[in-house]
Amino acid sequence: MSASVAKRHEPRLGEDLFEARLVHGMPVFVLTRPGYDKKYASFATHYGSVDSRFRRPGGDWVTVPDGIAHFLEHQMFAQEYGDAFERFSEYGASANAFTSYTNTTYLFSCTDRFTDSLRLLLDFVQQPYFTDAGTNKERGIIQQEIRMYRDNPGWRLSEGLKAALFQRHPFRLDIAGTVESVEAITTDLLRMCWDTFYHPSNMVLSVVGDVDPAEVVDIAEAALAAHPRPGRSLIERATSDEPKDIAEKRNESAMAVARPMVALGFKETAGATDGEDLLVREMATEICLEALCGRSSPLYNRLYESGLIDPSFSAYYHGEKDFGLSVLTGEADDPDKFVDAWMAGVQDLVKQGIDPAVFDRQKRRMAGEFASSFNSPEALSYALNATYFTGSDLFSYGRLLDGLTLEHVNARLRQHLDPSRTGVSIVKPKG
Amino acid sequence: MAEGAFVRRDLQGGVRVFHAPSKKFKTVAVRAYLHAPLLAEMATRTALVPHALARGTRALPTLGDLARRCEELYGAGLGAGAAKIGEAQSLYVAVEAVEERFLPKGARAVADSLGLLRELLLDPARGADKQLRADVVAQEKENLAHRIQALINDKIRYASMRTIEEMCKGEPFGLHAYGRLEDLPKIDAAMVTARYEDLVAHAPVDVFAVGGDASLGDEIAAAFDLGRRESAKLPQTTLGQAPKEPHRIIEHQPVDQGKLCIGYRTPVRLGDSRHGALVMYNGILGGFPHSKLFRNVREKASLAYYASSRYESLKGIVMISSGIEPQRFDDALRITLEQVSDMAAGRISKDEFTSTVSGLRNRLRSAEDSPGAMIELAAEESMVGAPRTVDERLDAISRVTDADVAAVARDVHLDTIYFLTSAAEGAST
Repeated sequence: MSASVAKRHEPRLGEDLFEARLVHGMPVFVLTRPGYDKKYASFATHYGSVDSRFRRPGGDWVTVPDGIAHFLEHQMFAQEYGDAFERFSEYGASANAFTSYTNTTYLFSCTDRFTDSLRLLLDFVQQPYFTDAGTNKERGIIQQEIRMYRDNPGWRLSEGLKAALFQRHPFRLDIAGTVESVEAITTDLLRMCWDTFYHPSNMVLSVVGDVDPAEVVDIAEAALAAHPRPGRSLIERATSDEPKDIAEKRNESAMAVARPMVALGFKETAGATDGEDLLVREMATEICLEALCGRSSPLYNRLYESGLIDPSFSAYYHGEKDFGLSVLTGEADDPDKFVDAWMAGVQDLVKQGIDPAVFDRQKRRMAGEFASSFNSPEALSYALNATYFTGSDLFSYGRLLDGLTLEHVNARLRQHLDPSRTGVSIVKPKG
Repeated sequence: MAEGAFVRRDLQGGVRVFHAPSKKFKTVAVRAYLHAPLLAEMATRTALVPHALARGTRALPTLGDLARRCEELYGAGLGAGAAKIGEAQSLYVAVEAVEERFLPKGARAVADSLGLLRELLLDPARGADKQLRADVVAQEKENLAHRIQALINDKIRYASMRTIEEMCKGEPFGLHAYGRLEDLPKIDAAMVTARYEDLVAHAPVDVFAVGGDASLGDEIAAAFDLGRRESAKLPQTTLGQAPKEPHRIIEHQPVDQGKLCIGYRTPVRLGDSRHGALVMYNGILGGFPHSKLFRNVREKASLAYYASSRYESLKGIVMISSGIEPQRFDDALRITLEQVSDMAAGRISKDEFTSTVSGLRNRLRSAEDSPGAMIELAAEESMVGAPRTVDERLDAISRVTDADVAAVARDVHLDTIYFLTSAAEGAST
């Protein structure tokens, strides 16, 4: 029996989104892209590096070593027949996977043999082949990967910032764990985490491309049926008791870089939320940051012209259900002056509030950039999964943006850009 | 004309417009290149030009003014920079704007963005002395110095840049598109202005655009009619030769992971009848996860986190790069060189061959779904002739036989072995 496929149309962008629910409630999203050769599919589990303490349905609370979600992502590609990654390559597809703080995503893109690759994707993620030899071999590769990150000053800077802002939340740790923590990862632990989180009730499939939605749903349905899993209750995840206070004002390290790099962070303290609230929070914060330090802001221009910042400067917000932060970062000869100048700017902006003309212009820019994002199958597929896991909907973006008010954004400004919840990370040059 | 194929318009004075009309994108993307020969004495001031231009136009004289205008145009993305395409140093200005059919009624974005792009290139903000503003040039000199100094931060890119630098010492290709740090103190606003004016007056110009309907090509042609009669000729990218004994360079930095890069020379280049065979060669050697390098260096021997190769097709260089543990240099080098000798000995399996054809097909076809990738491919191809369609490129690849690959493999010669490693060689990290 085929699951029924519902179609929704977004008139402004002329987009069609198809959706079906399969066994254990797993959704399949298909965003059709007429005229595109490239097809992009991603199969994701709501399981990331922060999920290190949880209770299995019907079981006990467990704490697992840091970096295990990422380790599992690597290990999944090892199949009885060899490397699934190479199998995709033989089909002419380009496969990849990544682990974030909250999700693990397996994906491929291809122009030919789409259905073969789609079956392969659904099969290998649902059918792990764990061996001790495989675990030990992959450990070496992962430790190399961690060493590679450690040589990346941008990585060091952002790790330092998380360590400054967060006291207990596992977000403060690196997604891949450490060379030491991955030593504690065993084949049994990998199997247990796979069994817990790689269940259809915790996963989503999304496809973007010029494909037949009904065919995608049929293939997914058959692939799930080939790997039947018992129904079960939800996974309980430990809620973090992260305090609002930061851990330390300043985190410094030294590396082989040319100039000091600095990141100023504002900790999210507005409390856990999800769904449309989270999406609106992201939009409002983006406008706050643009008003403060976007390229059109007076302060950005003043600091650029004075040489305190340069084109390496950027700012962004990253918000998830129960953690988040805003970051202002760049290279600066004098990191303290950089921080002082932006903190003074925050104080002024909070006092004055955001100019209505700035607010309107930012909404216009965001509407255009949202439309542009539909050029990128990768971005769309990622957005479909992320909005599903946080309980919102990609197509509600335009409506929520239209409905966003200046009052709301100004309230967010006063709440979020709080000088008492900031931390600084600095990477200094080492000889 | 097939959807997505570039239609060429030749304007007076060495300006070529390549426009690929398309309905499938939400945006129109336009990128204009001004090509100059990559020359040591000119590279740095040429690199400064786009950054000075991006600081403001006569009508919108500050960064803030430009940014505000882009926001009003629904987030139009405006950019400028200098790229190295073979041995050309190519200044570019670019814009990408959302098509009005996806915007609220009455919105304007594409035509105004095109106008903005033209102003950015042709009508920059100037000081009272008619030169590009001295304060702007002084500051962009500073920023360029920072950019050049920051090349050391990304170790993967740094290692491959250093390999090219050592390998192509004395050749234009050994220079970076950013130019040289030591030139900066001597350069002033008058020199940058003169360089800018010379480029606008004489440089060959290639404009690439993707999106919109056929009439947009005429609008672009009108916007980039520079009213000039002739243009300079760009010299061909030179062909280098591998030395009798390969160069070996070891560089030390406080790093955890070592970076091994190996550079090869080949006379086979874009435009050559054997180019397709070399594209296949590179794909089989290190272009994909099924390739020899990935399977044997990373997967089988667990020696590296990444191991791949790329082909600089205008110059005739194949470059292998990998990230390895500093202590395991000897093993990694040996296994990597074995892969290259296997290629030369014609040890290529049927699977490696057919998977590479499929992988290249996927890569080229996928590029047609991204305006940026379409423009980059076309810009490279247009250096040696008219950009081929993806079908033509795939056709050239499909005619390659394993004997052809084995034959070009014997024309790939070891030039330079470069290793970036931890401060104390052999010490544990």
